Amino acid sequence: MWTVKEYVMPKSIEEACNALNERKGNCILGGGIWTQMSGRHICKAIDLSKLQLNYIDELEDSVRIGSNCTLRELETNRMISEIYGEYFQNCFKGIAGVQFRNMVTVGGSICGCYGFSDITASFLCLDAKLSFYKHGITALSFFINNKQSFKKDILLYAELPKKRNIAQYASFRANFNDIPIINTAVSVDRGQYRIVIGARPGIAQLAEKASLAAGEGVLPETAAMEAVEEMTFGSNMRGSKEYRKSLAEMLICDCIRKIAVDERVL
Amino acid sequence: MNEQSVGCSFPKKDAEAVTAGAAVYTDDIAPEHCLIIKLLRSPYANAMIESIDVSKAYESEGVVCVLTWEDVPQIRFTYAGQCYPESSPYDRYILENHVRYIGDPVAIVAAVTEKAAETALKKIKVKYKVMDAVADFEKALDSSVIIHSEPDYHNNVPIGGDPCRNLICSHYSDYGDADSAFESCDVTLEDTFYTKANAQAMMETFRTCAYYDYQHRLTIISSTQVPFHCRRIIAMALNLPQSKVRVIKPRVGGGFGAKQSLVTEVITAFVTNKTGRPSKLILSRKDCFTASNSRHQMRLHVKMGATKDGIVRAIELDVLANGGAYGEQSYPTSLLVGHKTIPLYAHAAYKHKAEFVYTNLMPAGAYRGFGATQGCYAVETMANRMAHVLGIDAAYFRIINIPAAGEKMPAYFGDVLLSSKLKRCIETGCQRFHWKERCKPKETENGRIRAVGMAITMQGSGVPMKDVCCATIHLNDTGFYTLQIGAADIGTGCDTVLSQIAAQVLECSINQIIPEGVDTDHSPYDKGSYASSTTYVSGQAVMEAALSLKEKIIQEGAARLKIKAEDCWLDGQGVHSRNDETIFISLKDLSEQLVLKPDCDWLTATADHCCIYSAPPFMAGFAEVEVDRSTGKVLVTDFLGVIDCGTVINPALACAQAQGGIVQGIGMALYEDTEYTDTGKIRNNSFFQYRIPTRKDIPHIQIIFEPAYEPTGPFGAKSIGEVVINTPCPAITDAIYNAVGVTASKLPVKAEDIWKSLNLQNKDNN
Amino acid sequence: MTAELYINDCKWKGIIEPDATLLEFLRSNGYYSVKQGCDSCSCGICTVWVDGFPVLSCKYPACRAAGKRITTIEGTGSSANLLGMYLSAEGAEQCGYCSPGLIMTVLALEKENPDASEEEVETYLAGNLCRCSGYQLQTAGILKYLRRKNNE
Repeated sequence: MWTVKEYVMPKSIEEACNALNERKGNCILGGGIWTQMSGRHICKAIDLSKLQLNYIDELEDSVRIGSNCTLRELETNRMISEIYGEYFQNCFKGIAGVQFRNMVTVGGSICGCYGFSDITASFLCLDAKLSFYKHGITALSFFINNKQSFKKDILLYAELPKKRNIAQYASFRANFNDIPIINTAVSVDRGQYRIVIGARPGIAQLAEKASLAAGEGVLPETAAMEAVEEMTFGSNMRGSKEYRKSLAEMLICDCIRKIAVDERVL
Repeated sequence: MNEQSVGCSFPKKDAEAVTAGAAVYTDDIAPEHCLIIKLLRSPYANAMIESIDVSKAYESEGVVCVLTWEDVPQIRFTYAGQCYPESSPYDRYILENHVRYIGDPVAIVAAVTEKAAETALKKIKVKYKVMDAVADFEKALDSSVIIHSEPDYHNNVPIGGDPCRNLICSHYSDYGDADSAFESCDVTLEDTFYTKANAQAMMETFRTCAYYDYQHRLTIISSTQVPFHCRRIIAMALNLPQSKVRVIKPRVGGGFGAKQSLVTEVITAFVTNKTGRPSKLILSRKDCFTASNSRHQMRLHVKMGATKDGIVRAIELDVLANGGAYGEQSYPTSLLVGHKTIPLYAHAAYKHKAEFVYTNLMPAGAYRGFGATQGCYAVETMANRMAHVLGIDAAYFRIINIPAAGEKMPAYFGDVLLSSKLKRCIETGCQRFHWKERCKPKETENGRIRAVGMAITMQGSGVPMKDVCCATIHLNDTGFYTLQIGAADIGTGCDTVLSQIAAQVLECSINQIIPEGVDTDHSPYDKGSYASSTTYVSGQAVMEAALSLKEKIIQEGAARLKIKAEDCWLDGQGVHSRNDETIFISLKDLSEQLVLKPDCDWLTATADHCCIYSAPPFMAGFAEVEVDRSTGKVLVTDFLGVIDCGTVINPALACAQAQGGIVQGIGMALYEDTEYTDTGKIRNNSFFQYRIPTRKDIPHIQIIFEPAYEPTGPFGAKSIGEVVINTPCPAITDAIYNAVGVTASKLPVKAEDIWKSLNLQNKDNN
Repeated sequence: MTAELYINDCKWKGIIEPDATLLEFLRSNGYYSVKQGCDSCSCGICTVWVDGFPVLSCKYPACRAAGKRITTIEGTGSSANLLGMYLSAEGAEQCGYCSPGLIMTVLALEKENPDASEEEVETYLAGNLCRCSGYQLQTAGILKYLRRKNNE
């Protein structure tokens, strides 16, 4: 059980950021689920609900998703489905349940940097950019590898390129809505591939060399093999590293093949 | 008009209230301003408390009491909810200076708020002398680490235990000359199987509240399956007369055996006894997983010998089980592993040996099936393998081996089997599951492979010569009946089923029967809801009480009608003459005269029943699985259960019980795992880590009833509560074998295990 | 934190503890239909609506509910009772502990997708665990409830 000394709902980003930086024990709440489960002792819990950061806006070349947007809002948004097809439905359908997804926010998931995070993997695959209040725009991939520098900053929105992205998401779970044993995502944009593996159990990472190789037209099996070679995997209760590696290779291969089919259709 | 009750799918008596979210569970009706109890738990698997300083905790705001081992009565008892004298060792104190598993309570804090209690917990300073621990049940027997060495440890009855060897209990039984029988067999197979300490995972966790009533009697409201055992054990542990203790069972959110042991009751009673104030203890889900009780983890070695035409001539079953830090429920479990599995092979000589050991792990307790489930997995898996080796159809293999009604069952107390439709269950299952056509594995469109497997099982109905159940029924003015039972409805629907039995006898509408909740002050004694006894044993008591009351009502009605009792019949409307339909006295008029008038005669009847025979229900389970060879993932895509539970009193409730049990069995087969760290900490301590099946993980489950009329059961009924969980594990593991040739000797069967085996297969083939 | 909110259309005003969960808050205000089944947001038993959307009250910060409309089963009018009747007619209601959370989730599904197929019902309810009934009879009762207007 967590403890909180003070619960605040600031009315401006500036107020929120000031509150965050007041002292070490203050923190921003996303959905709040993982924060509560971790049993943290928080001085000031800063709730962003009043800042209207739950928008999903279509811009000319991109889609902006407010950091307080819930997974369920993203999952059920018609405009998102039209652009990205079933990509996000595939990503989210195995996450707990509808009630859970009505609470978990995009910002909370990304900033939490959870290894098993399906959202992080799916966003990384689409080369998401993040907009922080103090740091400004940064690539999600940079944020993942430098998260400590952003500890005292507030995520405002994530931006996804709005192209006719062809992207596939696939994960493997022990039962329908367990956290993934492994998750993978592959996207292609004008011949440039992005192959992402997450829940390794480490956080999602881009397989850069394999992505380049895929773009050069290697066989899906080869790209998949190269992708797992450049990643590190680990073992835990849900699976061994060898198993994760094998699953990742298989899922990436499937994703690349499905993309090839989608490309032909388009 | 005669009303038909038995065989009707009436909704549960409490359905309206619980689905509307009424405040009917323990924490809903706990007194306001209860002290909140929190427990400091041992972080070590085996340690002595060298010192414990609670002074700062006592000074903490809102704290009313802090209790340690120094405050408790020095009285050994057991948490096992069993008939007295229990066959469980008396190996517990309320708190002790020897803590025996990670999670064992060290101190009790009672405070006015939850936060105050938790703050106080952190202020308790404990110095432990940490000792070596036994965290592996296969290393427990004769270990140099002795878990129970207390001088006042004792057993009421001999159970073959020896705590100096960490042996809780042991059992040996045999029949015939198994060694010679093995020699005469054409094929002998043996293997060792492992099952885990599965969690019952009922939706309502353990919780109890206690208060002193206006007579200064200690009143306990608890989510329990065993109110009368609770009363006895609380009185014993606190050195109180039982007359000073009252236990009330409200609506209970499931138990499946978990609540057949006491978990929160004694501690809560102790706090109220010490403080004089109402208190409550609600266990978190984490504590349920780590500090209550679970199924016995087992190693089962099975040796089976058969002739080439498929007759099993010999079975050897050697069981080692993990009883955990305390020995409740171990002895009866050790019996059932063999008693409820070997009798299915009617021509077999057998040896059944079981040793249940202490470990420094969470105690085992009761979970649906109670040893039969683990035994069924091992013996039925071996039977399937035998069928494969002999080239005999698995279903036919069962048919030629099972006992028939009228046959003596040496492995089942030497009883004669009085009723069985097991053969019919197997035949019906084969037909409706299209067993023969599906026997050949089939590739699916998405490159996976489907195959089928089956298994059979039996259970008991009540414990013979032990389970005592009573019922009282009385006639109220306006013509409705109050049925007082001690059988605890824990979601199983026994309130409804027992009402149906009474209604059938009294030939009235079920709406005229009002079952009363269990309260040890009002209810007649019943040993409680376990061992699949409520329909069969409590139901028989209800039937006899109702028959007795019926006779009394007819007598009274006849007297008022001035005709002979034998010329009368009773239904829900009143007492009728057989010979003249105009001669009639309504139940309303009769009851008002009996209850309210000066020449009153309060009509009530009580009956008790103790079964001398435990009528076995039977089931044949058929499973289809789909295996993804590239990942090893197994999905159960179809399941059929054909059940002989005797007369089905309420088909809808019985079907729900069956489907619920089968889903639990699927969980045990594929999803539910309990792993320990090297130091004995349970890793699967939440629903996040302990995965019970969701509705997306299970197939369509079909249930068919093939009832055999059981002469010793009410209206021919037997039981259904436990038999339904046993077949999924062996049926699924055989289906996996048939699909991809992988044998599974350990549960749960994980996708990665299958993937590894398939990889090895591929390597061998290459 | 001082807050004002609505529970089943009833205005509530007062002070909420900063770390109270919505579950604790509701039960302390007498809404005993809301139950706790786990501590990891895995079972769905504690489901209530916030502004009409189903959430898990066991981890929904109560302070976040300020200014919002909370609905428990007591506030769903006759719908909950009607759905309950369909469930119990199937034999699906066993211990009943998961029922209020299940009913709240199904009523939310009805608003979002009243013509949900069997698969859609099961997917929507994936976060609602039941240990007693085996789920199938629940689905049967739910589908009959959703299709009730077709059968009239």
